[in-house]
Amino acid sequence: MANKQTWRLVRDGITDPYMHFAVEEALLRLTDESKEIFPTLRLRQTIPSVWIGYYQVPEEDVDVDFCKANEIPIVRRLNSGGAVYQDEGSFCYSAFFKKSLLAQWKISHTDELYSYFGKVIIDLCKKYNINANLSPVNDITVNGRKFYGSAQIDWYSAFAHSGSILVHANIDRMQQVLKPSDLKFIDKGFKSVKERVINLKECSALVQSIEQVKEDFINTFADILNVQFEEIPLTPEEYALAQKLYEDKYAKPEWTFTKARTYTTMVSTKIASGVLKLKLNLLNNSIQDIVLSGDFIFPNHQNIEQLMAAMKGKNIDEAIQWVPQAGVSRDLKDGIIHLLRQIKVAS
Amino acid sequence: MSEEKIVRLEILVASPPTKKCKAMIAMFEKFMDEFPGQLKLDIYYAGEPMLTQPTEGFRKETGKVRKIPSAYVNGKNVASQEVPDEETVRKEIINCLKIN
Repeated sequence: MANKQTWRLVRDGITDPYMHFAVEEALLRLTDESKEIFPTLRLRQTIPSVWIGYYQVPEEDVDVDFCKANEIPIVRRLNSGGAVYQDEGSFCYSAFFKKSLLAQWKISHTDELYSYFGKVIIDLCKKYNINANLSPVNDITVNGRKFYGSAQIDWYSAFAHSGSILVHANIDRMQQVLKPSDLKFIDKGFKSVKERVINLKECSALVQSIEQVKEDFINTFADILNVQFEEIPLTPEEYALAQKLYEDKYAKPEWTFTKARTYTTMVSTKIASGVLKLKLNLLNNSIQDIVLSGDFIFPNHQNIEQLMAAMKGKNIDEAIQWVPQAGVSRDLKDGIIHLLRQIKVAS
Repeated sequence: MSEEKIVRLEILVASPPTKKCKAMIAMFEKFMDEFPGQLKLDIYYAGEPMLTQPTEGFRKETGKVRKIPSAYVNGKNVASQEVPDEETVRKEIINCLKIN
């Protein structure tokens, strides 16, 4: 067996969701900027809060009024995907590493990381006699009900893969705060959040506490990836950058509640990785402005921004012709082309 | 989902949209989630040029008097000056999908 790779383990105990995401971005940035850095696994839990995906609109996916009335913070994540509710009954991890490590792990495409890290979760469940399964693209389920979701962010030379695990989260509260698109459940046969998700604790009497699951997770992670951990707290540099990101970005309402842009035309569809919506301003069939939103999964924001910028000024036919050369997933390209064709047909 | 069966939703709202207008937009956006790949939603802002071609029904209805906000499903008026009953609009959309 090859020598064990050393990973850094961070358990900073930060429970403020805004600061939590500031730390996430600080670690990602510094992973990219550092020449010599070993991979980091960060574990965390936050106070009850809602985290929306990078491309989501809070008013569309979250009961914002309920959250305000109940003092539940809402914060936009840096990665894509759907809105999640987190509390002391759930925990998350993030793995930060240089993309150069992917070859060492024999990973040819970052999509493979969903099953690579997913195996840790599935093996963790085996310890509790729970039969869990990957539910593509990014979920893990027990009898079709989700207890784990994951997302990714691609940042220059660095990469972060994150996952959330429900152990004994308040599902009733989750149901109250989230209003996922009906499209989300169409192909899964569920009518509500409550029917769709499950806590690990409901699945096995062997699941005692969240602390126990976290410890078991760390041990399983080490076994499956054949790594050893050194627990090292956040450095002053990391903390200072996180503090700046907290003040300049995550704690500011305008980061999460971006000003809605008016649009004239909207179309929506469901693709394999989630719901995809296009809002456009059209002038004589020419795209003046275009915004893509939804809970679909795609880790590289730059490529999506380039795609949106490239479509401006094109007419619908030109845009349809152009999309295949965009640097986004096949799934996303097909979805966008489908939506553009819809606009054409209905015009 | 066939791309040949697109039902057109149109809303005429104030610019900038009032609270009532926003409620109407939110309701119609919800339909976009409910009927994926089957609807196209166009929003016209009163006093601003229409950037897409409206339906014949919309043009006829709004020829002389424009009621704001108002909503149309395949050119048929389903709401004038008030946010419509969600179920009524849903039924109209389903009807149009059947006809298409």
